[in-house]
Order: sequence, then C-alpha cells, then structure tokens
Amino acid sequence: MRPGRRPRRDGLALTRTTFLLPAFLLASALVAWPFFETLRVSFFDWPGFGPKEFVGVENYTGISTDRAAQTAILNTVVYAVLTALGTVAIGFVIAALVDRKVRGHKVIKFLVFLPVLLPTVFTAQVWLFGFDGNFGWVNDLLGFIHPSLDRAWLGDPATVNYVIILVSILQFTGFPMIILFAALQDIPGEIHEAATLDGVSPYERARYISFPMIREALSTVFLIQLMFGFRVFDQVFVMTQGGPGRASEVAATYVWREAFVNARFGYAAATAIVTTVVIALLSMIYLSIFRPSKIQRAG
Amino acid sequence: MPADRIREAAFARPLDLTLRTLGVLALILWLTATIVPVFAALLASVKSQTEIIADPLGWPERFLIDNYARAWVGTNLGKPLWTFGLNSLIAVMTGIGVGVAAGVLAGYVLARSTSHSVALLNRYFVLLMTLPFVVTWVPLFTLSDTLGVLSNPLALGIMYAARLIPFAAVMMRAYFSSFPLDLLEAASLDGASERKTFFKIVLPTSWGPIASVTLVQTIFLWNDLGLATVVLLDQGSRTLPVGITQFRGQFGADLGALFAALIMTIVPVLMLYGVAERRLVQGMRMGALK
Amino acid sequence: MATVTLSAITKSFDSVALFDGVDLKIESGEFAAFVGPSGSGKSTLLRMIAGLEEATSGTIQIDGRDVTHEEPSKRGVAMVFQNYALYPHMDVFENIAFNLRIARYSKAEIEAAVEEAARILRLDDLLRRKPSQLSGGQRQRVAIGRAIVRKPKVFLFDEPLSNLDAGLRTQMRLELETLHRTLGATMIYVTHDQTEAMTLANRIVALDYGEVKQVGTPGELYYTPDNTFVAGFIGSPRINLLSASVRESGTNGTVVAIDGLADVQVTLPHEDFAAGDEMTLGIRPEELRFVEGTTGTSGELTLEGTLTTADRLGNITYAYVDVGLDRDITVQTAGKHEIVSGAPLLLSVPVTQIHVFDKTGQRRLPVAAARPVVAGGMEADALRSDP
Repeated sequence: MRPGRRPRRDGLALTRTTFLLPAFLLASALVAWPFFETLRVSFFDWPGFGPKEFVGVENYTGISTDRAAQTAILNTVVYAVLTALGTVAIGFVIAALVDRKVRGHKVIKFLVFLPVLLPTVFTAQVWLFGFDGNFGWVNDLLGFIHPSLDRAWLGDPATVNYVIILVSILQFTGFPMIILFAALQDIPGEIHEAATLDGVSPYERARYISFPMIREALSTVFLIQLMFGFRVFDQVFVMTQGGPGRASEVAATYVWREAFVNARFGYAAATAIVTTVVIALLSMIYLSIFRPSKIQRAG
Repeated sequence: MPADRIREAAFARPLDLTLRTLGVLALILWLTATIVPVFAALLASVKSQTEIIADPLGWPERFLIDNYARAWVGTNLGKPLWTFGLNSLIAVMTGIGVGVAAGVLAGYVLARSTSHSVALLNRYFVLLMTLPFVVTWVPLFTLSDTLGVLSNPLALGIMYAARLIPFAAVMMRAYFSSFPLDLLEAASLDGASERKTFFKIVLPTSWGPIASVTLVQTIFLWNDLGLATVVLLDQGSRTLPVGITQFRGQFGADLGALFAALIMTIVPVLMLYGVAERRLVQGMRMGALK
Repeated sequence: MATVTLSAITKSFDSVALFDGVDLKIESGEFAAFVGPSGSGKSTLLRMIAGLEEATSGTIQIDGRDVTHEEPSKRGVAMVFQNYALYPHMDVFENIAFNLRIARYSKAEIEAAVEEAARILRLDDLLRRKPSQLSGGQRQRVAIGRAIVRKPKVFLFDEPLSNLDAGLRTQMRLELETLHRTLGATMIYVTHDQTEAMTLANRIVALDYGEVKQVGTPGELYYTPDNTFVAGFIGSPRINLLSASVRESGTNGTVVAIDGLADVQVTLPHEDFAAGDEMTLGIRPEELRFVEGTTGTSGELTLEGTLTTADRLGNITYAYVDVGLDRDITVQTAGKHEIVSGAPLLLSVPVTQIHVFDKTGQRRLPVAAARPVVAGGMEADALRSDP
C-alpha cells in the first residue's frame, strides 16, 4: 500500500473502472444480492407468491426444534468432512504410488481424473441403478464375496449416507490426486537421492519426506474439497431424494424441498442462512488451525 | 535429468515390495470401482431390457444400436435429447462468454492495481467464492419469476456468468500477478494506454491460462443441477443434467434407451477431455494454487 | 579409508553410448577430481559410484568389495549434492541425524555423532535452524555434516561449490582442503571448474564426453598434457593452440610449419611423418616473452605481431597479439611491462616449451626434446614469417 494518494491519469482510472464494472455488477446482482435477499426473506413467512408475513426469528427458532433440518445440516457437514478426508487421503496415496518414472503413469492419471469431469447426475444415476434392489449389480458382486454384503444399502438409514459418500469419493478423488501429484513432482529429485543414499526406503520417503513437504498443497486441497462437499446436492437428489425418511437429507435438498415442494420460502431461506453460518464457522476454525498465515490476510 | 533415473526396482526391500504390490492392487481395484459403473452403463446401453435385468455386467449378446436412436428422439413423455443439449449449450455458452470475459478483465485490474478499494474488491470476490450456492436459489427464483424469465436458458446463462465471475477473476488475478512487469513497462514507455496494453500485449499472450480457466468452468456449468432445477420449470427449457433426472420417468421400462441416453450425455465431456486434457488439468491446478 | 576401482565400465542412455570401457583406480585417501565440460559424463560416473545410476556393464569396487549391484546406502559412500538436498522441513540437527535415525542408532549415539560433526564444521550454534534460515555456505556445511556422520569410506561431491558466489567459493575451497587433511578420507569431487580441480585435487581425471582423456597429478596435466583436450581445458588463461602441418620429415627431425607463419623444427622420436600431415602446437601464455630487436635467438620460435588489446590486472597483464592467424595469441607478461596497442611486437618462446600434438590430438613430443630451426643456410631471421 502506498502512503498518500498518487495523482493518476484520468484515463487509467476510467479504464480500470470499466474493466471492473461488469464483473462487479453481475456478481453483486446475482450472487451477493441474492444472499442478502435470502437473509431478508428468512424473517418472513411466505409461500412464494402472494403476501409475505413478517415473523421475526420464528423461522430460526423453528429450525432449532426441527430434527429434519438439523439432520440435514449435520449430514452436510459429515458428508463434506468425510469426502474431503477420503478423496485427499486416497488421492495422496495414488499420487505417491504413481510417479513420473512409473510406466503408464499418464494413462493412470487420465483414468483416475476422468470421473471428476462426469456430471454428478450421471454418476449418481448409474450408481443408483447399480444399487437397485431388483437388477442392481452391486449386490450381485458383493453377495459373491459374502452373502451378508447383499443388502438394501440405499434403503437402510444406517448405511445410506455412507453409500453416497463412497460414490462421491470414487468420483472426485481424481482432483486431489492431480494437485498432489504436481506438488510431489515439485520436490527436487536430489532430495530423494539424498534419502536413498541415506538408506531410506520408498515408503519411509513418502511418509517422512514427501508428505511433510507438501503440507501446504494438502491443506489447500483439503479445504477446496471441504467447500465443494458443503454444496452437496446432486447425488442425494438423484439417488435418495433425502430418504429413506430424512436419513440422507442434506442442507441443499432440504432447502429445495421446503421452498419448491412445501412452499415455505421463508423457512427455506432461514435454513439456507443457518447452513451458510455453520459452514463459515467451520471454515474459519479450519483455517485458524491449519493456515494461520492466511487468517491474518482475511482479517 | 539424471535425477529422474533412479531404478527403484533394484533397491527394493521385502516390505517395500509388499507395499508396492498392495499399492498396485489397490490402484487396480480403485480404477475398477470408478470405471465399472460407467462401463456397466455402456454395456447396458446396447442391451435389451430383459438382458439388462438378468445380466447387468455381462457382455451383450447382440449390440442393439437402435437403443441410441430411441434415446435421441425421446419418448412422448419427455423431450428429445437434443432439446436438453441445446438448452445446455445456450446456458453454458452464455455463462462462459459473459463470465469469463468479465472475470478476465476484472482479474487484470485486481492484479495490477495497488489501490485499497481494489484490494477490498479482491476480498469481496474471494468471499463470494466461498458462498454455498444454495443460499441464492430462492431469490434467484423469485427474481426470474418477477422478470418473467423462468424457464429461459439464456437467463440461466446470465446467472451462471455471475456465479463464475469470482472464480475467474481470482484465478486470472493470480496469473496476471506473475505477468512479466518489463513487458508492461516497455509498453507504457512506448506510450500505450492501459487499455491498449491489455488488449494488444497482455491478452494475446494469455490465451493459454484463459483457455484453462474456461475449460474448467465449462465443465462445472455443464454439469450443474441445482440452479437449473430451480429455475427451469418448463420441460422444453431444461438442460441436460435436469433432463437426466427425468430419464427414469421418461423412458420408463425402456432401460436400454435410458442408458443410451445417459451415455450420450457424457460424450461431449469425454471428447473435451480427450482433446484438451492437459489444459483442463492445468486449469484445475490454477484454481488450487491460489 | 578406501580405494575405488572402476573396471570396464560402459554406460548407455537408451541407445546412446556414453562410456565405452572406463578403467580407473583411486587410491585410499586421495582427493580425486573428475573434471570436464558439461555433458562429459563426470557426474554420471560419480553417480554410478554412488549407486544412483547403474552401469550398463563393468564392475565397481569399493575397498576391494564389489558393489556394482549394491544399494547406495550399503556401499559406504556419502554424497554432497550440488543443491545440497537438505530436507527443508527438518532443522539442521535433524537433517544431519536423519540417516542415523533410519539406521536405528540410539538417541545417545545420534547426539554424539551430530555434535561432533557440528563441531568440525562449526555448526554448533545453528543446530536448531531450518535450512531456509541458513546462508549458502552454511547449508553446504550441513550437507557435508550429513555426509560425515555416515562415516563413509568414500566422500562424493557433485559440483558442491557451483551455487556459491566467487568469494564464498574460495573460502569453501580452503575449508574442503582442511577437511580432507583432517579426515584423511578418500574424496571424489566432480567439477567443471578446472581451477577447483587444480587446487583441491592430488589426482585429476579429465573427461571429455565419456572418454577419460588423462589421469594424473595437477602438475602432470598442466606441464605434460596428453592431448589437445587436456591442454586446452587445464590452465587459465587457455593455452594457445596453433594449427600446423609437417613440411618435411627426416632422420634429423621434422620441420613443422605453423599455418601461415614460421617454421619450427622438432624432433619426433619414433614415427615418420609425411609432408602435409596436420599437427597442433600448444604454447602456454606464460612461456611467451616479448623481445626487442629484429633478430631472434636460436632455439626460439619468434612471431611478429601487433597488440589488439590487453587485460591489465595490475600484477599481471594478458596481452592479445594479432600475429596473422585467425585467433590472437595470448601472452602473459608482468604488469609493469608497458605495451601499447597497435605497436609492432616480437614474441618469442623456447622451442623446448612447445607442446606438439598430432592430427588425432595426441601428444607426440616430450617437450624437452624439441630443437631450434636452422633453415637452409639462412640466418636466424628465417624465423620470420614468410612474405
């Protein structure tokens, strides 16, 4: 930051403002403003058309007693944390196994990353069929391994969430993998050589040298996965619609249902706000633990 | 470089061999798990209804290509596939066109300016990036309703543009920050205005990263379900992801056509990946290495 | 300490052969320098000794033991890398101690070993710092410390000083010399800088693209270079290499004509040469003298020329003299000697100091056996260039 103001040619300021304006206006109008509007609507009771009735914090108190809403928010958090953990951990292992000298590393990376690009709707549909009670092949395969594994995975409240999480992990692991792969390749070859000379085995190298050296990339990619995880909607919407009961409901599907099925826009808005607050809090806690230097900048 | 040529095989210990074999096995298992469902869908797309039910993972007896024909035109319970595709195309292209353009311009100023307000703007964009989109659905719906643009893929496109602007701006800012200063100073010494410098010097050399960002955002927008479901009420206006959720209702008992339709929806993505893999991956990395 | 023996080493990368049968023996306690230009294979040779590269064929023995197929960590070698390869997330103590930890030494043993190494290298105050908090020279010492604690049979250095600035380099050179004296270890040192090799090593292996061009003491390589490569590589400023050809050859000796200039008669003991055979003459800048007068001395080659430019360094001046060849001749003279650009000059060198190489670049003449020219009855002014 420069102390004092610098006299600037008018042209420059004008150009810069023109460059910034479209982005700023659009983003503010269709992303920022809706947030505040949702906040506003959350204090009303409104079926989506017709008059709004101001109810103060009634929606919020309603949420505090609404088991379904709380389950939804809790599921969202659990989902985000578990998928982030799963994708990053497995992504790291794959990245560590497949380094540039391994034959076919390009093909492996290509294949592992591919599912990331597929529409979540697509994978959800396909897995939905796999888990189908009548003609699904998942149970065929699992039953082949052990009969007790042949069950109604999606129909059981105890297991349904884990199925969804598993489907997500299978699809999205490719992303942390490519990020961590790049980070691992950045480690100078000399360090590996020095370690080899020191008698360090490949496993020990991965654990004591590679892993600590990519700490930054690990925490960044974990945060990114976490943020994506909080937005979960597609898989639940397609595979279970929140069921059985409300066992697999997540925040996004809950909001959608309350607004567009039950016509309770105000309540839906309040849920959305509560979810955002929870996410914000969790993110700040994460950042303060894992990235203290960044916190200063955001503050 | 010689540093890359360590022959690990010669130096493996027993434990490492076991771990490595386990690792390889795990990798194979993993790849199978990720690919199998897609593969199953692919197989199913050329099978008959009865065959899918009876033998989901088996090799097809005959290849029923006409599943695809039926999928393409759709049934009278829904719209043909190409309608969905077209809507997706409109929405995504609008979103990308407007969003990337605005984002790139903004990103440049964010990188070059030292003013306090611009720094604030940067934080603003970063904050917007972290917003869970679900919190915008209700007002966007009401707004579209008020403006009468519900079920309009173009309007959806504008909303997509707004959504991707913070990402594009922040990513391009990171890239522009590392743009060689000497080039810009030389241009300014030559008397070029900021606008000219941007369009004549910076932009022509920056197509690579811009392409990467574009590709990444295209994928995200193409696959979007949430907002599209909220805003596109009319069947004929729906994008592909929304259309997919209805396949079951649309194709009913014609599972072969259903899977054929599913496979066709991912063809564009696969083609894009096959052609532009490196750029795509680069774009993903740009996003992660803030 | 240990000897290192390389026998019949060949090395190919894909289908490109680098080494085609290298035999080398380094004695215990020697400081051997592998020197040569980039791509000469010196690093590859070092890495093969370390075990980081595999030889295509041939054997490597350390202290009499065949280690050709042994793991690097089992060969009893330690290596200091060009970029030090310190583990950035560990402090100095940890970096030095790491390999001991892996080998499961007890905590007490580790501490003792690290502290001793730190003492030798004056790192005692820095033990808790991270590499990013150290200067280049300090990092290098940590890298050396890491090598010392392994108590290796052979120390390997891969261009360790090339990342340091000039002043630091000189200082570290002295430290390495001291280290060698203190430890008395066998050390193999790779560098492209011939000054480093000359000052540090008691044996130099000169390499040029996979070939060992000469092995010997610094003095041997300097005063009796085996071939034009060694003559040109060792010695700064560079030796003057002149193209020449045989004018006539007989039992008295061979008269060699410097292309475009004077004749010189040399005695070449064993071979007959045919007229027209190509030769190369090498003259070190410090062997040339400026002389006055128009008559040259017998037993000397005299060349006439004008000064192009001179590097005056105060105590020494390097003069670049144009004698009518493609390249100027470099002459070393005292700093106090005044010479003026453009002025006509006379250079002279005893014929005994001229190195003679045949067309394959091989040395043909022990310097001392050369004799002065007496050409066809004319006086010594026949030493002048032909018109």
